[in-house]
Amino acid sequence: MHIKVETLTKTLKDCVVLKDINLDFYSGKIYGIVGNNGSGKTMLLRSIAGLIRPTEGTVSVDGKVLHKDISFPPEMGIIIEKPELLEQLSGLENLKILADIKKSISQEQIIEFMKMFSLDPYSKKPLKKYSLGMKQKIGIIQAIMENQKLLILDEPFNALDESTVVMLRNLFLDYKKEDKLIIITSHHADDISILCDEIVSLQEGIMK
Amino acid sequence: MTKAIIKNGRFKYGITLCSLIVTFLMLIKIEGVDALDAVRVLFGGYPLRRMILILAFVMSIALLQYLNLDSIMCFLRKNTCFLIRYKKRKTLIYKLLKYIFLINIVFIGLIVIAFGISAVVCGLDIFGIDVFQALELGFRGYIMCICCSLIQVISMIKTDEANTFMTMIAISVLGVFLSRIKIGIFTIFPSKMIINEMYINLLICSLYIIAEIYFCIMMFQKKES
Repeated sequence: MHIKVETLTKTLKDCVVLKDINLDFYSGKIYGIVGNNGSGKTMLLRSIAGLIRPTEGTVSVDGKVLHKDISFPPEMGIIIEKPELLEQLSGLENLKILADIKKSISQEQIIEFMKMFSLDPYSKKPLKKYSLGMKQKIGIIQAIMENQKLLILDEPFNALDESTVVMLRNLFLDYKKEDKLIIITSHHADDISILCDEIVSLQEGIMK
Repeated sequence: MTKAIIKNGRFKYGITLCSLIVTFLMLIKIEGVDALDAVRVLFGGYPLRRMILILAFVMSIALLQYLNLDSIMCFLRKNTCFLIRYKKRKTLIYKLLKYIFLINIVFIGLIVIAFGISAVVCGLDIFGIDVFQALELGFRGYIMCICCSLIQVISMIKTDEANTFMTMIAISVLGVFLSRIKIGIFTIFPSKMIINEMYINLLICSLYIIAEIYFCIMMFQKKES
């Protein structure tokens, strides 16, 4: 998979949030996007994921232009902010709802993922009673559970305990060997330096 | 997914049912409103001249938006995990509309159950109620609920929860005024009408719904996540 970002500019009500961004992302690599709060990291991820339309420029996936040839990149897993799921249902029930849309994985596989993240799949506890870290784990599981080829992860390590962070880093390195393309943002320099092959630095919407 | 959406709202159904029973008991026992007219009050099809009737109607609209809220939040806000799986915005909004139609059926079902319980408590003769009139009221009440729910969806696409809540309050207040004046066949509220007028009214309400669905789809497709 090859994602090409060409002269990407995004303005929101006269405010330029991304300006003239040119990037290439290739499978088998982990890319890190760093920058201060409000530097445009999440907006860049949204643009790559096809969630927002660029004001100028294009994002193309294997030559197919987003919003023109395709709506979203194929086989994409994403976590951008906390996903809004059905709060009265358990973690497993919510993941099953999402898995049922594409029907690409079984309940047993979801249970395996939950165990891997130290979540009790058989717990009847509704999602609204989950801690921040547990909700983050559910968010990460939904992003990776369907063996997606492209992972776009905004602050995936937020609110996670140390053992899960280590496990997740190793998982991402395994995914890299499986020729997946991973794009992450993080405030922690460790995550970026350990994981990423290439680092993109943003400052007030401009690449540095 | 349908089962999960219904299951997700189970606590809200309990609260809604209790509120409706209390409202019916209040309307029938204390206010002395006729059985079917009590249902008509909740749908805004009865002249809402007294404060207690106005409150009952405003509450029923509030309960309706309360039941719809979870699904709307799930499909319209922070919806990236659904959006990338359905692959098209159009598919996602169709799914939401399907669940809104379904939740509205549940709401009508809760009104029927609450009405039945209240009638038994008040010692009313349920079997003496005109079946045709009851079915007509239920169906037109459903149409009214759909119209209001779609306004809620449109408002949530364009604005946020707080603004949507105020919009729905404004709709309820408008409904109170409209219940007092005769706008005939153009109303969405199930006021008493002769049969021919009722059919034309149903046709007009269907056009309102089609227009609202069209706006929902158009606005959602333009919206960015």
